[in-house]
Amino acid sequence: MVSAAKCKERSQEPVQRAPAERQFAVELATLAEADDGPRPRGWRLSPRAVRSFVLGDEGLGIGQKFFGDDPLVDRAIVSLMGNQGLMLVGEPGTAKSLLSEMLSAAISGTSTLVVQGSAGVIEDHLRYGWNYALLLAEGPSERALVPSPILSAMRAGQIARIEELTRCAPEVQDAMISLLSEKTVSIPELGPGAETRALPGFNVIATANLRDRGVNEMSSALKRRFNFETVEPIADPAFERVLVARQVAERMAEHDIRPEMPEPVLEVLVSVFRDLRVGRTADGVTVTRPDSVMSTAEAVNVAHAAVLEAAYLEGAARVDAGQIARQIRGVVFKDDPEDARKFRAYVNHVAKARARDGGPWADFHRAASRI
Amino acid sequence: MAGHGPTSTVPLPASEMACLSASDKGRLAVPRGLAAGTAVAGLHLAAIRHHSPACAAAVSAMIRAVRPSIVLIEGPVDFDFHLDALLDPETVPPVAIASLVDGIGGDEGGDETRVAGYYPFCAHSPEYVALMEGRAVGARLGFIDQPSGLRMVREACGADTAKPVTLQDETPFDAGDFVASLARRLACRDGHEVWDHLFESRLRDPDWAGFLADTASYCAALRAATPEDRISADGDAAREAHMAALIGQALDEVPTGGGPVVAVVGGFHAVAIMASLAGDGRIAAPETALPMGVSAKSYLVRYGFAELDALNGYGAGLAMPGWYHAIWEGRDRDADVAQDLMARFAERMRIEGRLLPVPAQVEALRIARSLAAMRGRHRVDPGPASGQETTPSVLRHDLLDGVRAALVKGEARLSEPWGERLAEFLRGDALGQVSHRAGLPPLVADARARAAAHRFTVDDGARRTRRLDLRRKPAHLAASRFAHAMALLDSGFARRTAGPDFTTGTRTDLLFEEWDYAWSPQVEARLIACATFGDRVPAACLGRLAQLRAEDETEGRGCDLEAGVARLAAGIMAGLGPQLATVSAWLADDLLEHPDFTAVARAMAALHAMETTLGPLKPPPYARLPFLCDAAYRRLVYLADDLEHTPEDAVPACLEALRLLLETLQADRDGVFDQEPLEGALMRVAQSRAPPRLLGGLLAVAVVWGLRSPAQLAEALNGRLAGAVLDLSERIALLVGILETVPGLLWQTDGVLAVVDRFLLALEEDDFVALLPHLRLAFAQLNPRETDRLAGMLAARHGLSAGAIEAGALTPNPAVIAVGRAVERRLTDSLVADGLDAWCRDEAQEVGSSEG
Repeated sequence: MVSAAKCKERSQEPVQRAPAERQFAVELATLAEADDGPRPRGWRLSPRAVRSFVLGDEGLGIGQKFFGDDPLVDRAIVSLMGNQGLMLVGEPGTAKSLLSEMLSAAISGTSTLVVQGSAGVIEDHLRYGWNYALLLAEGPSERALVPSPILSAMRAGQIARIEELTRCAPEVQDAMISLLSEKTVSIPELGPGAETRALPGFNVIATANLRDRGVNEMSSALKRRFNFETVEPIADPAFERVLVARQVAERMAEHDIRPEMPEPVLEVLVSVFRDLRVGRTADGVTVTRPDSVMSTAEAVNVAHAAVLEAAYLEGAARVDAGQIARQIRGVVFKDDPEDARKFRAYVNHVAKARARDGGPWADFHRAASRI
Repeated sequence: MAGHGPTSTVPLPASEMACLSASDKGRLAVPRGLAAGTAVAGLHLAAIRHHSPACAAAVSAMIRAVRPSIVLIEGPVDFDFHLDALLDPETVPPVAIASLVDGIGGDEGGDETRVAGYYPFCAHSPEYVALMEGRAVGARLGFIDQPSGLRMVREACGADTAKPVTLQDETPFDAGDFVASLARRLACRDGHEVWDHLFESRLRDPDWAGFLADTASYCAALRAATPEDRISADGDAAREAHMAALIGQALDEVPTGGGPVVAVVGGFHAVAIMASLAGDGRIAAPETALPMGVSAKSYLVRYGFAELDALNGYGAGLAMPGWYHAIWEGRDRDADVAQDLMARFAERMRIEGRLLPVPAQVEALRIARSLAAMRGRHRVDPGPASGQETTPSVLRHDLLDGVRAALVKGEARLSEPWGERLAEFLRGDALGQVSHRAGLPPLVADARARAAAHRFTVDDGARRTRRLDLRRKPAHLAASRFAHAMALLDSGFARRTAGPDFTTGTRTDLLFEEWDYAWSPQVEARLIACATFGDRVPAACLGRLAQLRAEDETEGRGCDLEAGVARLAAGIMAGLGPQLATVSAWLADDLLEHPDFTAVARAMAALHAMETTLGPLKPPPYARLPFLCDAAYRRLVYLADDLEHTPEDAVPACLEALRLLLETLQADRDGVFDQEPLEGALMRVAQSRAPPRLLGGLLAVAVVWGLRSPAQLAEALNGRLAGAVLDLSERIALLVGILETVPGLLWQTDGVLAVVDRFLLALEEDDFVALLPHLRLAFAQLNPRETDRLAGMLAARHGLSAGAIEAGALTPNPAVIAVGRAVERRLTDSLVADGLDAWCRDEAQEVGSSEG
């Protein structure tokens, strides 16, 4: 959990990655200047300008930041104008957090009112806590109160973000219900009737992953208070390849040896993930979908592991598809025998047919059938 | 009205019109009057989009205003004679004119040279509205496009003739870089949304002239951005020349002082037609003769929104006709169509048992309206003061988005149910009515023509018998296929009284088929009922098969492979062509998801047998048998890993399946099936804790395949027989499995028989007696010759001849017989004493006769 005050302090230092409102400060200013549309109360920009910020506007020189599903962005913006919160769901690695950051930066001018969901989150993190030294010294007072990002967002009429909501315990999730329906936090410690009512412009963007095992089920009462949007994996294979290559390069930056990942090998990796994710190959062959998450993020993990194997275990100058095949089993399928079986069916039919022409598919098939 | 520049009308902001001309300014320099359809005196050319309510409203207003003497429609000229039936008060849209064209592609293709083309009308089609309004003002009405036959000859070249052909081509509205870039600029997802955004929002715009000028400009821009070669490849030039020529003739026809000519044409063609009319000189009427051997007949038929929506995939009209119908119906009322539809949708869902809470409806509508406002949907309303005012209006995509955002709780996987339900609701299910003056539907005519072509007598209702020589005369086989098709349609035309049944494999040795047939009014009535399936016999058969499949699904037999294979066989027997691809695809879908090894193995064996047959069941390539066999095989390999968990009572069926699989793969001499993955899977099962009987079958198969040596089998068998299992019958389970799958292994391979023999010799007498029934059952798998052979080998093992054992076994022991007689008599006496002598009478007689 990061409080707004701390963020402010930090923003003065050079950082690895600046929040969206700083990174795109110029674009936001341009949009605000050109914006003549009606603004919902509490919003920094009109809905149209928010859309332009996320999806780009050639005329104003605004770059596109979220790719693939424009109507989803429309719906998300309009959802935030209403009483319901916005829930972004989907596989890991589908840019849910990025979308939530961009939306809150454009609507409220800040994307740093974030609660990072985890099993350790307690209700205080959603409502308020105390500075115990002050609390002991002065008793309960506004000064001793440590507001949560949500409370701060309510007071300022801004968008609060909750990452990975389903990782919080059910009772903590339940606290969200009253926050979202009442839009009020009462603080009885400060005296009877002491409460904070949300200013116009307050809303919540939550992200959640509904497929991972081990996450908490969301109650239907909570579900009713959100409008859900499913963020799909990247639709364009070429773009996905670029993304995987870029992220692997970032992860390998700190290593001295960097084996090359040839384009055909990357293509094999991305095809395998896409085929198994969609349940159908590009040429229309049906594939049984495994339960494991076949996300772009996992593809990056596999590629990363394969590069490490090539670099440190085999001393190879370049990654081959065999290393990819070996890593997929360990990284993706872990210990589920059903999934291993589905992967085997894929190797036996799809990969085998492609292996006939030699090349990286032949390496992939050879290594995968030995597993 | 020519003076309405695009920027002078409210709803098209200058920036949006600017994109129109951005793509190709030089070619887009269309004279304004030309685009507005007023360049030629006395002519009003409306550039419309098929089935667009906004265009229909503008056309209607135009005809009321200009009171034309002639109204011309872009539609095949040979449809003129349907006008009376089409405009008859009894006819209720949606209806379509179906054109059946014969003889395309020469004489060789048989039935498959027949193509059906559709020209649909709904209540909100500009063409239909123009005809109705034209008739109301007393104008002469007419179609002006090339004859349907000529168009379909071109359309059908190289196309898949099993699919419907549309006679209203609208592909340009959602294709090309121009539309894509316009969509991007207007923040629309595709060309359809662009159209709705720019034009359908103007349904209530009273300025029809301005509206039509804008559609003309837009379509002219679409045209200019379409490559010239694409236009000529589509044969549009000839059609446009034809339309221009007929419009020219109509202009000459108008008497002095008569009303003008109104022509309603697809927007894409308007600018070209206008250009040739505005040019100098007369336009020669182009050639309209059909190619040799091609003939066309057209019919007015009932049509449905479902079919109309399906046609959308082939580039005709607007998707989800129910939505457009609703906005058309609501055009005169000050109604909020989105709200009405939302309420009706909620009602429909309630009836289906899905409650849609009011807050969710409110939220869906709120999102839809906010989206409309954000996306800048301007609606033009006739206002009291300024004449026009604009308010945001919810369009189709906004409502779909609203429902999606408000109702989906959770992750939306590949297809999202609420969006689909609303889409289905917005598609609508209206079915039209055709006036009785339209005559018989085409299916009846088609069936009659085919019957006559196959030399069935259909001139009277007398019952006749026909003998068909299936195997030697191709014409007879074709006639048989037609009769099968009519039987599949349940038309009551023909009944097979004798002959081979290839679908069940009974009496396939017969050479002749006998049919009892008669053409009667009942046959026609039945065919009229089938007319919704399709307008040709094969298409109707496909519809019938789809219905049978749907029935199976509602009865919970959706995935029944046996039924699927039977449907495919029925389709082949009925002589279906390209339609079989659909039937085959259903089966492929079922195969790929079927959970049962045995059922898939049976289906695979049946399919493989069909694939290799040369008889009347020989499948045409459309059935894609190799693909189906491969799909079944792949599924089997996948399911093989489940064999380990086969319950005891399913083992016999599984062994049978394994045997079938082995036979099929042994018959596969060309190596179509890649056996390696299956071998791997079976070996995994062999090492698992599968039931021993199944294991026996598996090992036997493995030996035949060469995956295991006979010695290994003998060893496994020995281990099992000598094993410490309490239940004796369990011990021989492995042997039973072997005998049920490949009994020959017992004598063909070394060692196995020896193991069995040793085991039996070592058994205690009591154990042997206890095992005897099980052993009997196991060895009953063998046929008499095999038994004989086995006995010989066993005897040889023990240094005897088989005959010696036989003789010894059959020598009766008089003492034993005497004891048996005594028991028999006591039993009979006791039964008689109990008054049950009737029970033993037959038996007693038998005993008596055998004694005799």
